[in-house]
Amino acid sequence: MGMFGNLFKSKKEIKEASYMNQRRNILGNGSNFQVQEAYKALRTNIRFSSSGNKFCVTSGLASEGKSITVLNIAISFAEAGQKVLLIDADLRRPSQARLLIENGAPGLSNVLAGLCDDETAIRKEQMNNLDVMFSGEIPPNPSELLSSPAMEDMLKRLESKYDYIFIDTPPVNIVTDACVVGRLMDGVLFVVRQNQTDRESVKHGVAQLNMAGVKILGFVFNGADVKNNRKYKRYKYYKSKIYGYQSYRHGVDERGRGSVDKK
Amino acid sequence: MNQMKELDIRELLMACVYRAWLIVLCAVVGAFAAFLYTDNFVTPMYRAEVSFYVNNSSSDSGPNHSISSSDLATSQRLVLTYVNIIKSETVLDQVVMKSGLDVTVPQLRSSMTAASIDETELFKVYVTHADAQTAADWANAIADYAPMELEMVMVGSKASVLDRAKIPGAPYTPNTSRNITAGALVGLLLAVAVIIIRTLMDVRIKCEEDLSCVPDVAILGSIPDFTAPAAEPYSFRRNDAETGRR
Repeated sequence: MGMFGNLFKSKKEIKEASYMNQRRNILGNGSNFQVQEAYKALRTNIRFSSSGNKFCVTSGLASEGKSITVLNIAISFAEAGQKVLLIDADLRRPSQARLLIENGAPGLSNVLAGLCDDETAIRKEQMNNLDVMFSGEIPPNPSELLSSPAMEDMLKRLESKYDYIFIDTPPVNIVTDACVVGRLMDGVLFVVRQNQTDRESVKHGVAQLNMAGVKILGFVFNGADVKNNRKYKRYKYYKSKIYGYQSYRHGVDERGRGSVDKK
Repeated sequence: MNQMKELDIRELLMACVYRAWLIVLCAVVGAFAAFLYTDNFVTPMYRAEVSFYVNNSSSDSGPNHSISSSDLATSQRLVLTYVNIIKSETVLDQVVMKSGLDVTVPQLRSSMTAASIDETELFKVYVTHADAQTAADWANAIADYAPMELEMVMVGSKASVLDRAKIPGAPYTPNTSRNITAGALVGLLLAVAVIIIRTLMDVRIKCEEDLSCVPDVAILGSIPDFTAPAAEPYSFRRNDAETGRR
């Protein structure tokens, strides 16, 4: 039925279904090997490109996979034994609570408004080594809250308690929140989605961040095609690469054959 | 756009190959449309032809006279003149009157073409009409009555009928198979043009190299587009690049 199923569902159902779809992308034991390796490589690059421990993640526009990416980065660091805090600072369209199927309140907005303390807002051990602070109730003044001294103070308090802090921020081309939060960070990761993000959006976003004096750590290229997908403009033959790649997996022979693939 | 996007022929070619189905579809639609149009909207026209031989009669000066090359040259010039005169009011008027055909001079003129045959002393007159018989009749009327008028206008020349008109068996136009081919070609070219324009105008990020449009910012990671096999009982739309064969 595919796309036509949409006609008969309510808007709410469609949204929920799309979240369900996205949840399958959350890093875990069932994840594709190459995806896991990709996040590990990203993790290594982040560690080596900065000596800091506070990073936020943004993108140009919405629906570019930013929330999943920051969640997976946090999970990846947590899996490496780091004590990680993930904060959902998208106070306009918070996604982390929906993705993790949790109640989003109380959370960041409550803390920033002085209505609750850190401990109440943080969900401990959401996963191994990973604590999460959701967005809290959606406030009427998100930019003001994020640029208030309360944000800076909260970060100072939490900095010492965690090895790494990752923050999910709204798209930089839509609102200025990412720039506001970025100034307090050791670096910003810019998520870009293949076949969706256009160059002007990227250029504009980077310009915005530069103007705000934010340190851009680098791009995260999301949805990269690995196999020779005909949509990919360079018609490259990736099969041999995959064979070599797969041979490093546990339980797989050097031709890339093995039973660990199918899960 | 401040910069021209670099023209990568291979990229354009691949875009066309990927959408080959669209190109084929447009070609088929074009061919079909051409066929429909040709079949239903174009009246088939029949063409009848008569041919004449021209020479200047002063060369008929006796049984021993042989045709010199200057005679031939003169005749060839005569042909060019005849081809023009034969459509004149004077000549056609007489043709219409004497043949008794139910046609006006403008009608006859617009249906006929006269042309010399290469560099010979021959010329042909073609008459095109929706009805085969009529075309033949008109052509033969010209064959019967035009030479006399031609000779009266150009005194000292002679035009003889070489071939009379036969009733044409098949329509001269339209050429259905040629139209279908043309239709297919137009469809194909349109599809290719659209694909090329859209590909050139596509400013989305397609690969990591595209991100170099912003210099000095590194690519920290590249996450492939795979989805884990569904752990949930409800699977709405499979995004899996591996199993969702597209």
